[in-house]
Amino acid sequence: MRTLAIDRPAAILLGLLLLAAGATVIDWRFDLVGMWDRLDTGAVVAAAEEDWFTWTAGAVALVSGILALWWLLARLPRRVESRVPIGSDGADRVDMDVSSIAPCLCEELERNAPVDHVTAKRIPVGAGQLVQLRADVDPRADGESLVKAAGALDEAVTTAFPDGEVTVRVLVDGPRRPGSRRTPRVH
Amino acid sequence: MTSRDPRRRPAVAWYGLVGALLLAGLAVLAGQHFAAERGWTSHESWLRRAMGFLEDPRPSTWIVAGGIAAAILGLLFLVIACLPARRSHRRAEGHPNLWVSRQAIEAMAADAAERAPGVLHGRATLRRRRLHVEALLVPDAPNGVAGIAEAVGDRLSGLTDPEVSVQAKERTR
Repeated sequence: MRTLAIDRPAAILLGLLLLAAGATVIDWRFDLVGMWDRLDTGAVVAAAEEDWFTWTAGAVALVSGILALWWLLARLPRRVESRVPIGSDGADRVDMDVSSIAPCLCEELERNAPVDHVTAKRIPVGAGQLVQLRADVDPRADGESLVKAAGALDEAVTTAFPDGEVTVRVLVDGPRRPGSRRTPRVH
Repeated sequence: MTSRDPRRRPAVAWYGLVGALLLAGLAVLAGQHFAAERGWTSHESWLRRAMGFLEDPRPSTWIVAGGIAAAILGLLFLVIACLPARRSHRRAEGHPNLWVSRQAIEAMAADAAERAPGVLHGRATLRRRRLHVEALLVPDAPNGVAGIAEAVGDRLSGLTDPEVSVQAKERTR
């Protein structure tokens, strides 16, 4: 699920509207500031009887329906372009399919570092791509071996893409089942 | 090329989903009113029925409950909208492209503590820069607290350099 830039302002707007609605009902019930008494409910009911109100409701239904559908669908994950231009010479251009190297990087990390369940995600950064590897740590791992494996991976990618078209980042999570061991310890 | 630090999904993303569903609810309510008024359905307009309650001098219990729920939800929306996305991993000291989660550090520290001589059970909790290790020792453990702190420090070398505090208890015979 993606986070949209509109989420925060929309959440603030919706929060204010809900708060105003709730405050109105509470004032109606407990008569705290007398706002409800000053409200001409007869005029509101009369307005709802008008023909224009029906058409306005139709327009509101259409617009809010489209907005709700867009708001829901826009958060679905988008497919990231897998090709990255790595060089051009006149009319010729060489593109690299980054999705093809991500599984190799996963295998490399799983082989060299005390981690498992390695997954890869591609994140567009500027004109290039960041391959983000995510793995679960083996609790028996030590910091030095993780640093060494990440360094070797980074060096290999930097050597292959010296201009930084593709970079790599390693995220290490806790073990899948915290505290679990494949074999019981005997003291 | 620069990229953002790894972060958790902000809570407002879930509330955006709730907001979209509320907007869809509004669309259904307004659409049902339009359909009922145009005679496309035999049912009475829900909006018109709700308008009938406006003339009451006091709202019903259900309306009050709905109003209080709306106010609470509105407050939650406002608070959540202001919360930033929290960092999910911290950068390793030994390499700029290696990031380690709090759970990973705790699991490695707990394992290191348990493998120290004389330790029966170990548990680690990381809070900001402070790593708190709790250990259960055999009676007359050889190195005790100093050995655990050293083992944990060695294990996490290159990843992070937290202040390690060890709380050890001896198992009673």
